[in-house]
Amino acid sequence: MPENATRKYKFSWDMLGDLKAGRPNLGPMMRLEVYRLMQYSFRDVIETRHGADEADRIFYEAGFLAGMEFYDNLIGPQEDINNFIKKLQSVLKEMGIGILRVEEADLDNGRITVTVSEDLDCSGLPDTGLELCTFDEGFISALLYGFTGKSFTVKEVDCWCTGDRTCRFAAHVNEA
Amino acid sequence: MDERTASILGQLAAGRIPANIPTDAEYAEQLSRLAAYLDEIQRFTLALSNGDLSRTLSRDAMGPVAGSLKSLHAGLKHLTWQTKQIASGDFSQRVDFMGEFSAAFNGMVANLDESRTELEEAYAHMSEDMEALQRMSAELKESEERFRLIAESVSDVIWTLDASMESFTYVSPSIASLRGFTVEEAKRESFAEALTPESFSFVRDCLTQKLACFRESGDMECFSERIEVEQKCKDGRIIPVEVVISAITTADGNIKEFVGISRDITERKKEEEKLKYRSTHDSMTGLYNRAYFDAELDRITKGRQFPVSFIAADLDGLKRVNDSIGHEAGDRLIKGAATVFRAVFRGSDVVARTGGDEFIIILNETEEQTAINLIDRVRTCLVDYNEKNEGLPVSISLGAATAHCAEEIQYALKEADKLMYEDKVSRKQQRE
Repeated sequence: MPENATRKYKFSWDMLGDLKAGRPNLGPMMRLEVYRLMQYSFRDVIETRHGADEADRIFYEAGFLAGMEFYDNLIGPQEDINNFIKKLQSVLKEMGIGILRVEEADLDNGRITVTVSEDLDCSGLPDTGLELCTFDEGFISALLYGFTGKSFTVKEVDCWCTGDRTCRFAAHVNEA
Repeated sequence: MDERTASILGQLAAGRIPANIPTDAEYAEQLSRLAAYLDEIQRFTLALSNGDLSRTLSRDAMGPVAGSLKSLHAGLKHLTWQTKQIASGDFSQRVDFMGEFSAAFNGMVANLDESRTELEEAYAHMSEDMEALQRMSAELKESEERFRLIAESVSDVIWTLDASMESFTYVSPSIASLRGFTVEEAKRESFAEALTPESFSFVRDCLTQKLACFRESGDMECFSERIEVEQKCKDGRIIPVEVVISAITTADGNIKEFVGISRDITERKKEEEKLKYRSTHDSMTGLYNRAYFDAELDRITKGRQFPVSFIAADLDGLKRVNDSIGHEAGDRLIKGAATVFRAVFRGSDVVARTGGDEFIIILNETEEQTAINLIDRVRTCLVDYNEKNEGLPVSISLGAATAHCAEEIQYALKEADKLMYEDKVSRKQQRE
């Protein structure tokens, strides 16, 4: 972005709006297809204009931004890794984002492996043979940063789109 | 399709992976990839069935078949992580993806959680009990320290004696100032050795009575009485000691120990003796006073030790000397008479000053003739006294009478008085 360019919509949690006031009849819920319609149409345009790799980077960054706001507004500081995971599992399930499970959580060595079943972004998508959830990668990276204060790289190693039934994310801490 | 390819496909369809696929067979490359895929799936499944969760599928093993196995692998890995969390004390973990196993596993965790809660409650109770015990122990220690400080700082001796009344179980350090013994020496003494024989006998009888009272009533007031005993000191002195004895009882009401406080009452006894002496003696002459005479007379009246003789004595001219020369001169005459009486009469005789110039001597078990002889001795002594002492001579009128029974006492007193006056008149006439 050019240095002197004017921002029109810098993200803040307020931008999610007052749903009670704004949707007194329809409420906060909508069909998942609509979410995916928006996400994959965005992705299509971005990928067309900037290429698949850049689209992945943009989605990773967007996921990180969303994850930071999500952590600050819905998770908050937690006493230990167990409480952090419990809280995260609870909020992710409550909001219909996915079912989080932990395979490994070795903070001492900076390694965490989690799976997300019934993932908001990809569960049920056609088998393309390509991992799709780069937004989730950034999202999870931000959550780990929020909890530990350390930078993590998160990589999706299994995805519904590669024929798997659950998305597996491997995270490792970046050396300072 | 050539026959070899058809055969290989037949083996694959039967679940067997061919050991060798000829490279020149039709679809050889696809057959090799299928065989490799099945081989990897087989190895991965075998590892899973052996509980080896460390094995992973390669990036080439994709698609729904591999995905289903990966999903099972992910579930087992998560289950392993959850089990570790439970092992570290997080009993909130629940399994929700393994059907019947989930229900059994969750039931087990819930039971473990319940057992832990019960254990924690039991531990909490135990901790409370321990804290209470520690608090009691600290209070007991504080109490013992307080008792020790009190016991070591008071001059009274505090001691405990076993229920059999034989040996001391505690003696406070002030025993050294009371009797000259060290604590160790005092503890080695038996209860009997700590007292004079008379006192031991007295205390033993006393304690026996108190015990009987306590056993009958259960009232500790039975032990409230103070008693006076005599104890032998290390240097051989016998000292009067006041003792208060109480008892420590066991939970079932039996006597565990006796607790005593001993106080040296030597000074108090001396004061009591002084008071007693003052109440029975005339302060000027040191002879018995009127009160003692009356008490002695009462005793004799009630007794049977007769005959009893009385000598009535009156100092001649005391009033005249007091009026003309002064009371000091009169007092010297009174003291002189006392000196003479003390020289003549025995310690067992009661010589009393019953008025300003009046004296009565009680002679127990003494016949009248002896009394008359004693009057003569008084007169002889008077001469001797007056010769040896300058100043106004002491002159005493005397009369004696004897009672042979209680009924004759008042008569004998009057008779002695009458004879004394006759003596006074007679000697006055002689002087004129």
